[in-house]
Amino acid sequence: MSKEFVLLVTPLVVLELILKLVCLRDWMKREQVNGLSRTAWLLIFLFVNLFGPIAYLVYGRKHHGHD
Amino acid sequence: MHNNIGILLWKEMTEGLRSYRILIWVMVCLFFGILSPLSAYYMPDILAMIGSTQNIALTLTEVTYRDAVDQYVKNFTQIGSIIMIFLAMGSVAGEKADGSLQFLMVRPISFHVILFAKIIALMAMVVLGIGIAALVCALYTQYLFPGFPLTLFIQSNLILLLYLLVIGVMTTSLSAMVSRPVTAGLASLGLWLVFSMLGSLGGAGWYSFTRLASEIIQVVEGFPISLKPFSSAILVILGSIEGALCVLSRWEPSH
Repeated sequence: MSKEFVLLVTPLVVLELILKLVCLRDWMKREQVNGLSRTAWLLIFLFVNLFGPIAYLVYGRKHHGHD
Repeated sequence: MHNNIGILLWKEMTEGLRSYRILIWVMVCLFFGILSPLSAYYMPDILAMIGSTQNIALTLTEVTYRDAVDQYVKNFTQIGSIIMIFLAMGSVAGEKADGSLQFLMVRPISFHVILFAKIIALMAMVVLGIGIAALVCALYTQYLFPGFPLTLFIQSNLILLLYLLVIGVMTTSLSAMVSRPVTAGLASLGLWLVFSMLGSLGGAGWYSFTRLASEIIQVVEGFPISLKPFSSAILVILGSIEGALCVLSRWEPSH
């Protein structure tokens, strides 16, 4: 793996980490989530890249119309 | 009225930040802006690696900036459109469901102002995201592919902006017509698929706004473009807003 490749790809990794951290912070302070169990959402946003955090933030974190 | 629009716009932007809609859109735009030129640049290496593990010899043509732009346009007009539908589907229907629209209606504010504030806030979000994506994609493509036509690429992003605005306005309007966000999302997805299928037809296909995607590539390559998909885009935007206002004016809050 060249140094150039690592430098070019690093911003993508940072973006993904920011999204996962935002989800994790929200998940930790929320007792109930939408659709699936809390553990299922944790696994989804941690292990499914880009779409996992988006799905959690758009759908999972909502609960009975209150954010 | 101007004051009301200002207050409602502020409310929409605050809601966009609070619900992470703006963050998600900006992140997705950044992701596509970086990923598109990178995946085009490294595609021969990736395919060669796959070929070597399966003993297949793959011959590829030289990768140019056109592949990067093509990837960028595909990412936004396919995955980006679906994400836009997800983000806009609850904008009015969600407020109907949780009662905040009823709360707004006890104030002297017309449906026109509410809907326009939502659409202007959506436009601001799309412009911000596409602006960031175009900037990042241009930087990466310029670095990886010498001879990249920067000015034409910036012009082509205006068409991409229009494409995503059509999807956003269509979804917001559908969200105003129904009572559940999921219904609005599915209806918008269905309409987008219909327009995409129409766009794949020969002559009549030029009147589908989804043909704007091929016009983006035309602009980058310096070729002349057809105005037919633009007329379709304007008609869909105006028709959606008119339909939404018509339904909203008859809407009675359920108790």
